[in-house]
Amino acid sequence: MQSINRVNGGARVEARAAALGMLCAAVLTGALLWGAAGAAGDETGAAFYRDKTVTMVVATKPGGGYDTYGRLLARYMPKYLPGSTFVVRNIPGGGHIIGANEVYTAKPDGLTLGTFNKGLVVAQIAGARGIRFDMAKFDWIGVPDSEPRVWIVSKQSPVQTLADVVNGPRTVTVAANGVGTEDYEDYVFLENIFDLKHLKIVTGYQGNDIDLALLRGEVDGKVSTLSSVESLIHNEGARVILVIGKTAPSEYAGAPVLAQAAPKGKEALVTLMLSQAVLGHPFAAPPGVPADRLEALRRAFEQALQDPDLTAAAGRAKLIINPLDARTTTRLIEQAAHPPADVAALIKRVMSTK
Amino acid sequence: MLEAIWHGLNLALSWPAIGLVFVAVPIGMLFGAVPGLGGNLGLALMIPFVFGMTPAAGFAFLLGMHSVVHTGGALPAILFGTPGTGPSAAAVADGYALTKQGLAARAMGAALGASLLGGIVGDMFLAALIPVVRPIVLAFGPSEIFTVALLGITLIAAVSRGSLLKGLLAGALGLALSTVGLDPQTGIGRLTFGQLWLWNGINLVTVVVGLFGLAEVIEMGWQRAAIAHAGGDPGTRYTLRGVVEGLMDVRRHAWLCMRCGLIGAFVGMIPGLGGDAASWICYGHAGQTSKHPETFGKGNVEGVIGPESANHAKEGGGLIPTVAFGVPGGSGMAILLGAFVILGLEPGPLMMIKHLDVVWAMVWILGLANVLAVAVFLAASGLIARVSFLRVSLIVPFVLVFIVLGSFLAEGAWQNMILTLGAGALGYAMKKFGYPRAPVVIGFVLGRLAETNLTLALQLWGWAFLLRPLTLLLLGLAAVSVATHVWAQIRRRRAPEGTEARPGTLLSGILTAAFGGYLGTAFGYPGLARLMPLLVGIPGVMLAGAQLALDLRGRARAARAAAEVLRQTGRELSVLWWAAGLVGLTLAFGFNASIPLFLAAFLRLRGKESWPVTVALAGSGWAFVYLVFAVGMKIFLFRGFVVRWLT
Repeated sequence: MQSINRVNGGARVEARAAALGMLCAAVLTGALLWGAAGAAGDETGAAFYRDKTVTMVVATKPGGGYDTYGRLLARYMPKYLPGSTFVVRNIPGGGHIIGANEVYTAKPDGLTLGTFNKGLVVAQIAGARGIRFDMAKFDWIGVPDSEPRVWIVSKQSPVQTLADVVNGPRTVTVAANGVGTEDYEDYVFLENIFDLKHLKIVTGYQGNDIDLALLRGEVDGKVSTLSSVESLIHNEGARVILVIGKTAPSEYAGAPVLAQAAPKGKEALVTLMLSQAVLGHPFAAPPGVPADRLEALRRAFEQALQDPDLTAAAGRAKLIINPLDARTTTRLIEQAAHPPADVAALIKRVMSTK
Repeated sequence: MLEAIWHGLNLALSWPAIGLVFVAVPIGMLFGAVPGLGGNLGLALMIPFVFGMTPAAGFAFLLGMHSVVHTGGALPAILFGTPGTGPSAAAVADGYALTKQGLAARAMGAALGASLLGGIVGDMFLAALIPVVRPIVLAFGPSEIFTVALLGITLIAAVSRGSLLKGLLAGALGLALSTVGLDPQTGIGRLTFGQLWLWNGINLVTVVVGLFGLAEVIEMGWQRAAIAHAGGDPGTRYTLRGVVEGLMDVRRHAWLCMRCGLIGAFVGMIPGLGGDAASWICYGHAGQTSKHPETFGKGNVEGVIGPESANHAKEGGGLIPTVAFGVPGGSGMAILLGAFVILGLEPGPLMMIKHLDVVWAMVWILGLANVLAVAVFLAASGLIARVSFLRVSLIVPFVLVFIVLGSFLAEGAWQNMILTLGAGALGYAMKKFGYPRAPVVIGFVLGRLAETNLTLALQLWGWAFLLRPLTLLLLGLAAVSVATHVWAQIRRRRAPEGTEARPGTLLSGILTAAFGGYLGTAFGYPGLARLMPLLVGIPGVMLAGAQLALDLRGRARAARAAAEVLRQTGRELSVLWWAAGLVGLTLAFGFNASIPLFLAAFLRLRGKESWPVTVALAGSGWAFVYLVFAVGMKIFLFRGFVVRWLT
């Protein structure tokens, strides 16, 4: 009795499996047809984006600068690409390499763009494993937030000027996220440019913990974007000892500026640092996007960044809006990607750890 | 001060703030209840909505949402053994054990009561510390945080009732897993096998949904009865009276609940210590102080109360450094901090002077949201009752879908789905062979904290950091914690080792080999990157070897038991193959195809449901995922390699 049931059950199972297989095939065919229909559109430029979904890749978890700018632009760019929908996709991990790979290898149909760390250009020169992109070949869209980086020291630190750091004899402790991260690169480059003999780089701090380390007094200073340390400067008495830029912002007019303070013979490294510093959170599309669509994306990017609603929202969020256009961004990245041999050698020496 | 408190209450109760709290609470609970979503994504998605709101309305909405995430997370943890968030996994061990005894209502009641009381304790902590927070927070540097983490790690012993050896081995495994990823000091990859997605380490949610959720589903999957009937008295139902009984448990253990609330608030307050640590430290603390330690991990209500209280208290604690000097107490608080700025509130010392009423309004809203969350659960208890008494075969496929979906959503990496299968198999094996699983997560969460801060402290001060006064004090506490445990063990004179001695030779053999390999690679790392792997690997090899020796000795004796276990295991493991099938289908065709196909196949072929039921359930399961995630939240769902290749 039982065995008969099982036989029947088996036959039934088979029938069901066959039905499922057919359903599977139907779904596949549907997907294929859908894909074909999607590719059939032949509108040009902004018109192409009507009823299209654009994926905005953010190479970090939700929260933080890349996510904030990514979501801000995903909200306002559709206004200038009528009929489009932007979807933010967080692809964290691999120190932004996974996200950048994803953008680079995406289909260049103008429906994928993304934001990731421009410091990857240094990782690329160092020959970091896992990189499947060439920073110089992305179709760059632009940068929303160009601003200088600054080196600050805390109020209680015995070191209060760049001269103190350069001349010693006191050891100057600075805090970094980790080997190979943006701030770590800054310290290594500064160490080389100013020939610092007393710099101690402590690695392994996580994000905001560096600010606390500064307040606790266990480290003397840190390098960061100006906007992110303004509260430390105004509320906690931190001091700017170096502006990594071409000129100092008016508020910090007295502070030394890297472009002038650097000794002779270090121009190449200084140029690399300056271009890296102003690139903020850059946005890119995969290489090979049709020219008209790329143009539409770049225009929408620029227009969105001038949108009064966006600037108002950014103003309230204390987000810097100071755009670099696609041409400048591309030029700066290309310049950084092909440094002179001595700089490349330095980068390979200090960064190739992975 | 009194004026500010009163103004704060008025702000919190003003329209539309109060209305928005009502909207925010269910949203926050949803983000907590669905594995992999979590509160941070919820905040990031909702921030656009607060542009243009008044400050009171905006933070009422965000704070209301954020503070109840773990209340939501407790629901699947207790009912299905599948935690919604990392911290709520601490409630699985005892909460789900209670559910299997038919006491789901009581476990939920205890979780709710503890959430409420813990939330209020954290809230009062926030209120009390507002004036004096700065020196306290600044007293905790890397060396102090390391010792707090160490103190937490010593609690592994306390939650390893049954077999101390197995517990310590599980803890060592967690510690070893925590070292996977790029070492921040040297940038070298440890056990990353050239995989970029492992650079940031193994994802916590992926581990807990596999280790707990999937392992439980594997075990429940072959039964046809409801979960609540599986192991206990079929007459017990999820009733309001049961929930009230759970609330009474909280009253009975009020002192434990308050202590865990204080610990949670304190841990939440120290930036860098982080919220994940809070619930696990308190789970350990509850185990350590329990009067019935022998039932711990098998359905002791204290194991629910401790972590749930801490989970909610830590939000109040986390707000302290965030508002008082603009340094967030955790990643969620970092997003909130950005939101406060958008709302025109500048967290920092000035806020305590200029906007003290706003700070008090936050205190009120935290309390209010916690009360509301409990009310929502009480109101929904009828619905929950129906769910918990559904046939297992109806629940299992949906839980599996959420486990796989959650492991993907947690980091958007498809590889995590495979990792979850592995964690599930491991969790199942551990359960079968009598290993406690909580120590794995304690080791995992605290291991990272311990290593990061130990290496920072060594870079800053060398080994002399151990002599810093507060560090010494905390080390003393850790020593006392170990000593009391050892003393309790000696006094109890070896509890009987349990009748279910099972031959775990396979597992202990694998573990011995794994730790051997781990230790072998550890010698290859440079400098500080080697320290933690050595500190973990050496005892790991010794513990695993000892366990293997024990298992080998007991093998002949238990051979017959082994045959029975294996027969049962073979049957149960079929659920793991189903889960693997779901993952395979997803990898090939993406969630949009895999979810309806899998649900239909499972319900029809395994559950033997009728066609109408199958189609209706599979369709609505797919529609829910598609509408909520793809349409509503615009979250990217994996598309599948075959589909990608075809288009």
